[in-house]
Amino acid sequence: MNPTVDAFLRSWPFDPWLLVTLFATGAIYLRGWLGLRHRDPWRWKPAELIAFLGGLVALFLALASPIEPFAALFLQVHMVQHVLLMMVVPPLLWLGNPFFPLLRGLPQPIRAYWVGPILRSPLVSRFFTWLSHPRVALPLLVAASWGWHLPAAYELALRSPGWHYVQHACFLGAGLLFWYPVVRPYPSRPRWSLWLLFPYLILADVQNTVLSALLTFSDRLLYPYYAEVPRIGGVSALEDQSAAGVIMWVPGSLVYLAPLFVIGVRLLLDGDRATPRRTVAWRAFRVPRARVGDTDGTFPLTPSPSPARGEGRKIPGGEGREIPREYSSPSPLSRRGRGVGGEGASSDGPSIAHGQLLGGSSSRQVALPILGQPQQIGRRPAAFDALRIPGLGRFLRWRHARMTLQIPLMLLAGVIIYDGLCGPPVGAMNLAGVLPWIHWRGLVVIGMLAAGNVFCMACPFMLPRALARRWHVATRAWPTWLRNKWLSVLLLVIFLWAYEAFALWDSPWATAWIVLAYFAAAFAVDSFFHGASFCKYVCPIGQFNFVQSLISPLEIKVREPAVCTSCKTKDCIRGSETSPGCELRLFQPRKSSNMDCTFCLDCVHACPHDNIGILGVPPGRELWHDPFRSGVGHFGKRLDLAALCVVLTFGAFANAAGMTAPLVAWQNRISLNCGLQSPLVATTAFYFVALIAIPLLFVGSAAFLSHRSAGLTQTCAEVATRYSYALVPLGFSMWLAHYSFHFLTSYASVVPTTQRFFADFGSALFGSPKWSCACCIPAATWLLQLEIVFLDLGLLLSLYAGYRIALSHTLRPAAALKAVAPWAALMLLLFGAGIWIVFQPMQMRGTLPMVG
Amino acid sequence: MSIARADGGTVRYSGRCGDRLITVFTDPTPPRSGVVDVSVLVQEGDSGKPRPEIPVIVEAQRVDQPQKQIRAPATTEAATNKLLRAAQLDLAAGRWHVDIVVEGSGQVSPPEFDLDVAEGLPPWIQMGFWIGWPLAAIGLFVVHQFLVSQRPQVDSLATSRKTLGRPNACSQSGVPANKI
Repeated sequence: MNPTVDAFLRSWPFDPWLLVTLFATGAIYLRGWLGLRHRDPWRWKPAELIAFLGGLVALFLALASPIEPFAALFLQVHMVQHVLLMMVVPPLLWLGNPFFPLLRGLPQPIRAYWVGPILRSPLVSRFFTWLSHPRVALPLLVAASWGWHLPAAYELALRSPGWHYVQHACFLGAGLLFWYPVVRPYPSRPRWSLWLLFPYLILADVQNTVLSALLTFSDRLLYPYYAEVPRIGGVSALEDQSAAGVIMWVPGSLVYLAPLFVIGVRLLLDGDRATPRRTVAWRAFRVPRARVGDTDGTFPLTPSPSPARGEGRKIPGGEGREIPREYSSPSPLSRRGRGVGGEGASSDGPSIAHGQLLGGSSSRQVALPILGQPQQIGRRPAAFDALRIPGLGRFLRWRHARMTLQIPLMLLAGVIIYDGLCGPPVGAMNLAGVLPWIHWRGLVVIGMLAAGNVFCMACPFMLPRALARRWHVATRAWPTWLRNKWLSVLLLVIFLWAYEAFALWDSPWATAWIVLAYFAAAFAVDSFFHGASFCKYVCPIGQFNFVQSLISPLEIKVREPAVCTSCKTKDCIRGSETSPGCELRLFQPRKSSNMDCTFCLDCVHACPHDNIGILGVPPGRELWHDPFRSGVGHFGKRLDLAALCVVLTFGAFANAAGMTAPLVAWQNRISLNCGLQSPLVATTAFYFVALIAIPLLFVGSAAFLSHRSAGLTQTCAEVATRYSYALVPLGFSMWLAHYSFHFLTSYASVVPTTQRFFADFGSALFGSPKWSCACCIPAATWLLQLEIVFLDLGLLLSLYAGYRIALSHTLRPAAALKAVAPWAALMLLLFGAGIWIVFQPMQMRGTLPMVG
Repeated sequence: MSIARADGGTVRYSGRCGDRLITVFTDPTPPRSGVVDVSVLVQEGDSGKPRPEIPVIVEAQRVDQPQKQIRAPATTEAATNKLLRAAQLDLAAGRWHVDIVVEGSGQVSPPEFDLDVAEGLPPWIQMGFWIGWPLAAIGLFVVHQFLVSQRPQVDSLATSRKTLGRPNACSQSGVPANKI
């Protein structure tokens, strides 16, 4: 194969953020499209899905395929990239009729609470209407095309990556606006005669032709940049420029003129039906009848493309009861209702359809059913239930699912204990140094972000005590004075301090003893006291998981509250013959949040009505809601829980800071100045300050200022207690950034340690250890960006949680802002500390130093 | 010196080396202390045919401190554009002399050039976009809250209009106007 072609085919730039964006957009569209198609397969055809996904693929090809690196060497390749961005991607995306699928694909709370008000805004509606009008869209396209092809502008884009992004954004944006009136994606309706698209498209083609001709026939190089880069394949810069002009000319003209043909045929076939008329607005959005069971709180928005065909049509499979006529009335979708609907197609405003989608530009606002209503949040059954996933749901509902998950982890714990006690005393070469401190920690936080408290579900420490309880039933109750989190707060502080002070991460021997002690403690406590006292009141890992999973997207909760109301047996808490009830005393109908929930699924197995699921919930919502929670009480009255949250938040930053070079150097300097042999004293002082002194000072000050500035009626302690929960997302983001960094840079270290472990037994099953894999790989730029994004999201969620808590105290936004301001300052301080930490050179713990 | 920017960065050297054409790119532009990408394109001198399989080594020597030397092989794996071979050098601020050793170039003097490496930008500037985008989100939230705060007024207006036409219509149905 020609080396240039071969190199071209292998030159795929890696842009994780573009990939994530495209995948997320495609997934949202697909979800929405499937939902809409389920309701009205006649209206939502596979062609739309193919077009939209094709548009995303074209965007990917333009920006993250070999076209991107080769565009810098060949103007003609660069032109292909621009043609894709301006002439291929936009029409394909619009042909996918993306508005409703994208809205429908968003989670309902986001759709209803966040997107709804913006899309309903008349201001936004008017702006988009103005922007997408041909008299604006065409000049914008011409300006973008000609402006960026001026030599100075083009050279600027070629020599500056930042301006290159701007150029691409301009081309894509101008293309989207230009093609909007041509494609008229549903629910858009024509605001002018289709005949007007002829001059619109012809003018676009003319300007494209003139520009192309300039490039093609010019006898001088318009962009000197291409004279400076090496010429490949014997193509001169001028020939390259001519070829670029031809690419712009021929495919460009085809793309502009092909729609004219289609429109012409349509006009000939449909006659004046294809032109807009002053029709009754609601007819354009006749809502077909739908089964009552199909409603999910948002009206099934499956309007027909043409009033005549859509009217009276039944949804396939809609043999069930039909929605009453008045409910399917057009009023929810019409901008001005029946009486004034005739004005909907007025020439000065947006089309009715467009107005409806964005809320209309009239003074009267109506709800857009697909957006749902904010008030519905929390009333509807969650759309997602992990127990309903085929295969996974069946497995989790199996009575022995938990034990099946625990056994592998139990075996791994056994391996860690053995290797820790008998293996090499170097963390990076020992499974006890690698598995717990790199893999387990990283996977736990990632699992919490993606699902929930999955580690407690598979906790190996519970397995021995569960087996022992078959023969011995504990009868004693956990002491009343210890029924709080203070003991676990103390244990957590000790653990965080010991981790750093005794370098547990580099001591397989100590790690093995910690695991052993964990098994012994869990066994002893639960053998003596009934219930899950160890999990609820002692286990530091459990407390970590409980607090961090407050912002997990899944929660074990009741599917249908009405079923619980009529339930007489309450097996979820009392237990049944086949399954114990909740040992942590969380009564499902009154359970709220993941606090104290180990995801053991006992309640799921015990419920005789199959009314408990693992449901999707808005992450973090429980932080600002404060109902009475079974087994927990009110968050706002639990000072011990708040202290746990504060310790875990500040602990996240202290734990991450402890491995940064400046802090290590500071501790060594302090030790040296004090004439100490080890940095133990300095480490102890640091942890005392970071976990006790600073939290007390900062949280106390924020509570005092909040109390004073907003005139809150609560005491400072109550204010501190309530607002401390708002810090949890920020703390979690720091844990996530820290642990995912270690995991993603050192995940391969498990390979040589496993090889060594087996080699020690004389097994050559995995070969000899490849110690080069135990070296930490250099952190990619995207990893640093990912860490910052985690912190950004944590900050935003913390700020929002604080604001919502403040609103629950004061109700008035102005007073709420005053109340939350000190907490926001504290959050920004922590955020700044987190940013500083991720910028520092890190000790690559658990890995071998890179040689050479 | 050319300041054209290509896939590998800015063209730093372009010329004939024996029977080969060598083009060297550096990235970022301007070079700043930290990791500097040096990409090399080797072509046949006569035909211009790319020869990405030819091994290349990049050597950098600090001009004012000759004892500071860095040597790294340039590989196609490290290059995005597989026509090129790239090496990542961790360079401190200052002037560096860079030599490109192309295998098989014989006695011909290898491509060389001086590279002025500037002080690195503070990381919070380099990552300014990633740190700062929450400000945009907060701004959007303010707009959102403003729009939300406007809704009750609009709804009450709608309700009053509707009530004028149909007395007690809303109260009878028990459905707020914005939930029709």
